[in-house]
Amino acid sequence: MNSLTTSSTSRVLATLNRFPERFRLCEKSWGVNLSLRPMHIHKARRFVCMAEPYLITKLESAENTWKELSVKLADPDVVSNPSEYQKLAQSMAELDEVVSTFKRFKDCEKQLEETKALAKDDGSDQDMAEMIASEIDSLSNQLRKLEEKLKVLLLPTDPLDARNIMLEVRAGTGGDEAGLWAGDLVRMYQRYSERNSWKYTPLSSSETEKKGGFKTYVMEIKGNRVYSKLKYESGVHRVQRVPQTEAQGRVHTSTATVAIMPEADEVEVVIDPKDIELTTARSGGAGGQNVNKVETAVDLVHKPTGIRIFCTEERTQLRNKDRAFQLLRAKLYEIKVREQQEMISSQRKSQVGTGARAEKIRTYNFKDNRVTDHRLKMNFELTSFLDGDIETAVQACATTEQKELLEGLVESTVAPTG
Amino acid sequence: MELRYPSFLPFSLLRNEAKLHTFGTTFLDSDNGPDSSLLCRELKWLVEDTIEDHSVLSQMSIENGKRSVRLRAGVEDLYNMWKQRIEERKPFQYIVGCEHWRDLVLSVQEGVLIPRPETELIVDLVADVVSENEDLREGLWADLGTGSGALAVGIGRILGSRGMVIATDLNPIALSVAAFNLQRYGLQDIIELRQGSWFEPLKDVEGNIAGIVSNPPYIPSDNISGLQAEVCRHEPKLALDGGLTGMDYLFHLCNGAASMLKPGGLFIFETNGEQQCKCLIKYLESDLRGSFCNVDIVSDFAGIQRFLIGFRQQQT
Repeated sequence: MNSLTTSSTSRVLATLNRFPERFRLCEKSWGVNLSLRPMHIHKARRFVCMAEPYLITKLESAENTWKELSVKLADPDVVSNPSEYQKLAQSMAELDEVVSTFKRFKDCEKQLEETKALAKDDGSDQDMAEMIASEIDSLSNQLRKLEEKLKVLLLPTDPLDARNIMLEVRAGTGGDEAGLWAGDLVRMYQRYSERNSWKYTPLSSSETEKKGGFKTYVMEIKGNRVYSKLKYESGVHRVQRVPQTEAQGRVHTSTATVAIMPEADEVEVVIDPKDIELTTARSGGAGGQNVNKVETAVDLVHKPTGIRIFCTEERTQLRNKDRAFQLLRAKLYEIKVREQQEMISSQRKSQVGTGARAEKIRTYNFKDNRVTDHRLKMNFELTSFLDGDIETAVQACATTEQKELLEGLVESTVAPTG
Repeated sequence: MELRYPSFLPFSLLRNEAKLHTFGTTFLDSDNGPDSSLLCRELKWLVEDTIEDHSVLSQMSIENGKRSVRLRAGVEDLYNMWKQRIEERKPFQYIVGCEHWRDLVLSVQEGVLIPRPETELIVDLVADVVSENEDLREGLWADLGTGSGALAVGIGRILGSRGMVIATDLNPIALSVAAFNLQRYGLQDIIELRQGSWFEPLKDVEGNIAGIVSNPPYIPSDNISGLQAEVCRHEPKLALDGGLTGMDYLFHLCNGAASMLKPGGLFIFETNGEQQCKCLIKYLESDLRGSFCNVDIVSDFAGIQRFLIGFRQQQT
């Protein structure tokens, strides 16, 4: 086999000079074949190869970076510096899948070449020819799949995916019923969090008259890649059901708005102390030594944006203050992020772009026991959905976004370059 | 001790919550005590503090079945504690034996003043000053009337590597509680406790102190009996009573600071509000003229002028 490979390679390289510049970039993978193929397949290859150069360049660059990192990680200077080592090790780990899949791709290609060469060289043995043909088929299939996988792996990832979040649910108009619906959504996300072994901590809430209902509710959710999954939940969630308070059994429609805010640190969002008004509700009149009440709630107002945060859940003034600032930073960051994303998704004509706050994303119909996701145009069973079983919907959103990104990738690479 | 959580505690909690709502504003109306929403919050924290493993709290919503949960005290004890809370108006913090303050959990008991949320701000003010002043950051600090040791522990954690704190109190109970708290936070090498009255135990460091902080008793004697029962019936008068005007010890502290602080040294005192702060400023400008500079009043988050802050004049 070795001699066969090496001989065919040298034969082919000699003929490459006849081909235009753009194919030379592919010479390591596709270029090897071109001289052995009849004309019509040339055309097919030519089309595919136009998408490839961009990917091959990226893949080779990833491979080189990976090799450089592994050399650096063996350097005793780096080993003795734990934070540097960790950073490099993490970068390397992120590239692992791309590099190993690329290797499998190249190996598969090589196998395909060798098998095709066999088909060419081997004589008229019918059985052998059939075996070789089916081998070529299955290898071609495998190659196609690996190519798809590589395209996905090379898609730009959302840098916010790994972050923890603040989740806010706000009841829409509709009084107590809207408040109860907001409460149902809070419980749905709490159960989903439990299923994912994420930790949720309530931050602030204002209850409605009816127990279990909220005008607003904010909680922090911490865990593995929380944002990557919950980012599709932003928007208006509409419910159609007979409210608890409804005596005549009529169906009402209410709404609640969900906002998903990735955590932002103090470097990303700078808050000028002059823009802040911070007060506490210490209704003791005189306060201080005169009073002993477990009252450390903090009221934070960000003057430029008018954002007001009331933080009550912690047990000390300092912790409520820190929480309030944490939430303010997340809100200010979310505004920034959303503006960017709205611009991108309108350019992309995206369906699941984590976009407009006022966008109705789902309708929950109790009578039909059905949840309809308007972006996906898919239905789900309501009872289990509200019990936190929303993983299918989340994955469907992620897949749809991935498809959109891939289409955008092809469009931008096939477009003629001046 | 293992007990079944769902069958005992929620039931008893519900009973108590129902009772609490009938209390409504009884305490609030009689002596500005806590209303039912604050009492419900205390009850929630009481349960939280009793449960040893807090992770079970977030799972309770999905598990309706019976489940054993370890408690720090038996249900009978919890009932009795809550009875004391409601019937005797014993402070919540004395019942659970601790006070959450800033990012700390401090042990407290009868005989020691429960640290107030307002006082948390003193640590932030110290942090602001020492962040730009290495001389003070590495210096010797004093927390006078330390009580549970709250301020000593708070500033002990933000001083530089050579910073030290001497915490004084007249009351031996306070000192034993402070000792427990500073050990809990591993500050034995940074904080030294001395028993005595105000500056008495600090004679050996006169003129060398980088900073003095204090939350001295500042309530006028006649006001004490009118305060909410949790305070006037249970907290130590020694920590509250500031004499006729409430300012006896504040004046004493100002006088002492003039000689005890090193040049450029800082003082921060907590007071009963605007009237006391303004009175002290007048005093500093007249009787202690020339001793201090950059004297200022800082408000707490409720907008009350709570703290007097100033620096010992640099010698020329």
